[in-house]
Amino acid sequence: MPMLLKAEFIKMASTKTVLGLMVGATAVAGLGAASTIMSARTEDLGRAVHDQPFFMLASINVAMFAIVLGLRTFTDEFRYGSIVPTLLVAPDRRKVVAAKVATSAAAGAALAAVAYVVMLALALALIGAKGAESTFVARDVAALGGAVLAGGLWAAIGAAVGAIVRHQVAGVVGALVWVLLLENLGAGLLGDAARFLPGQAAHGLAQASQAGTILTPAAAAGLLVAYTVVAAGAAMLRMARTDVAPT
Amino acid sequence: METPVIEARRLTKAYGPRVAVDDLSFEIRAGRVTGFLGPNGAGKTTTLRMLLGLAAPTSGMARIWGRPYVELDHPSRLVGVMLDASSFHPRRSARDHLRWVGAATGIARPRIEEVLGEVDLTGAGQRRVGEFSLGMRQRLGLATAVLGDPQLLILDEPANGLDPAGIRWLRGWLRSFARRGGTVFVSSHQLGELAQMADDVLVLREGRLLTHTTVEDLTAGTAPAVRVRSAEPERLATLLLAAGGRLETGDAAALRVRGLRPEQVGAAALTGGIVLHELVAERHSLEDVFLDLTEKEEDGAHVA
Repeated sequence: MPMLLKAEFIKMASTKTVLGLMVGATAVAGLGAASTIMSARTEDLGRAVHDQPFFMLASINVAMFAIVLGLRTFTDEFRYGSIVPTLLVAPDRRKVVAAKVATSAAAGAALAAVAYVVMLALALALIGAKGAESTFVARDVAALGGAVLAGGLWAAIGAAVGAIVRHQVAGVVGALVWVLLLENLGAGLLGDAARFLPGQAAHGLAQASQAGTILTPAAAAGLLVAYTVVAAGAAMLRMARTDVAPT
Repeated sequence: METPVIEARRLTKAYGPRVAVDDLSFEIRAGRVTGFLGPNGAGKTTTLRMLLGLAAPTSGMARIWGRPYVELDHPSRLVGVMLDASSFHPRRSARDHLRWVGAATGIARPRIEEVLGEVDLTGAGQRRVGEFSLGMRQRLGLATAVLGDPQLLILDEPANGLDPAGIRWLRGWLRSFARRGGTVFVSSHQLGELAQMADDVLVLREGRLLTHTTVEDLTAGTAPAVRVRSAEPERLATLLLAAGGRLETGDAAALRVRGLRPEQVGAAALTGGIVLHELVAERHSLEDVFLDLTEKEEDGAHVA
């Protein structure tokens, strides 16, 4: 397994996919924070960072990029046919799924860390420039840690979904529809039960919800990990049962 | 008895009502180059995919050294595989492709440089595979296959995209691999190429095994075609047909005859008083044998 993990990290590092998604996530999170802060009243900015609207916006935006990162670790392999050498080198498909889920989690966490740190630096500078008192408290650090963990788990879920869906466009479109549309619809329709949706659990982990009840960070982490384990299990079943053809 | 390197027993793969591989059984012994022949759609690639654990058989079994491929420890150190020249991420360099394969199997970096040199890609190692020609991708596929220094090579159409010099290199390289005790199982539709590199041949048609024998035995068992030229081809054709020959397409003056030896062709011409300008027994070719076999099978199927 360690050799397979190393191989997967080499794959990630040898194309610009992860770097591109990291730059994209950072840019979108930064722009989201800048536009939210610039349009906010100064008196509304004097709160803890994780309690501000831009933090929740980042929770959604970074999730999208992290899911796409995870998805692409599998869908790129099917798209380009490199799944064939992958399975010839490592024919135990459960191990391949496990390695991809694990490396995606690490890369997703790194992506989220970079995006949030850059966004927070920009946000604090802009809040200060608007004359508000910038506040970065201990709970913000915990929220940042939760956001990074959520990024990792989103990417892990993305990798598992990629193994199930296989088709890149279908996977990416489906993930975006889930994060941007269905999660919001669910939040509106399900009331309190919506906090058990993956996106709401991620907000709970990052302590980033603006409305309604959210799970505690520990419960949210447990739930998101459970979603990851279920998705990875489904991915292993799907991979074990399907023929793989050279492109 | 020695365990066969590759063993297929009653291997069958059906996709709904279509049977791609039908009750296929064969064994490949160590140290031989075995050609896997068959027209497009014969089931060669499906058979290889089942051997390598990429597709599950509908029934039957496939073993490599007595075990399913997926149960081999570090399979790429035992079996080198090249199935498709496009199975690379186009934005990854050739060297990085070999690096991840090497990392997954614990192969050190010097070996990567060694195989890049072996396939003449050292200078292109940092280039992205998307910029490679088909021939270069084939060579990278071969480099990937031999990276683990395996004892068995399974190759699907390895000469595709190679120029004549590349094909000659491949032929010599495979023969030298077999001389060192390696076993090669190579599918191809380039029959002439296979004839020059294979010891044995396994012929597949519509998913079923037509024959598995040595190239020598296969070509020896079939009469060669006879090429005959005269100024009276129409009258000669009538005489040859009467003598039991079968005529194949020829040019205006020359006929290609099967089913008669050269002396029988000469005797038939003599009975009609026809002067011959040319009478040549064509060399046995694997292509002839292959076409004969598949035609006979087709005729048999039609009769049945």
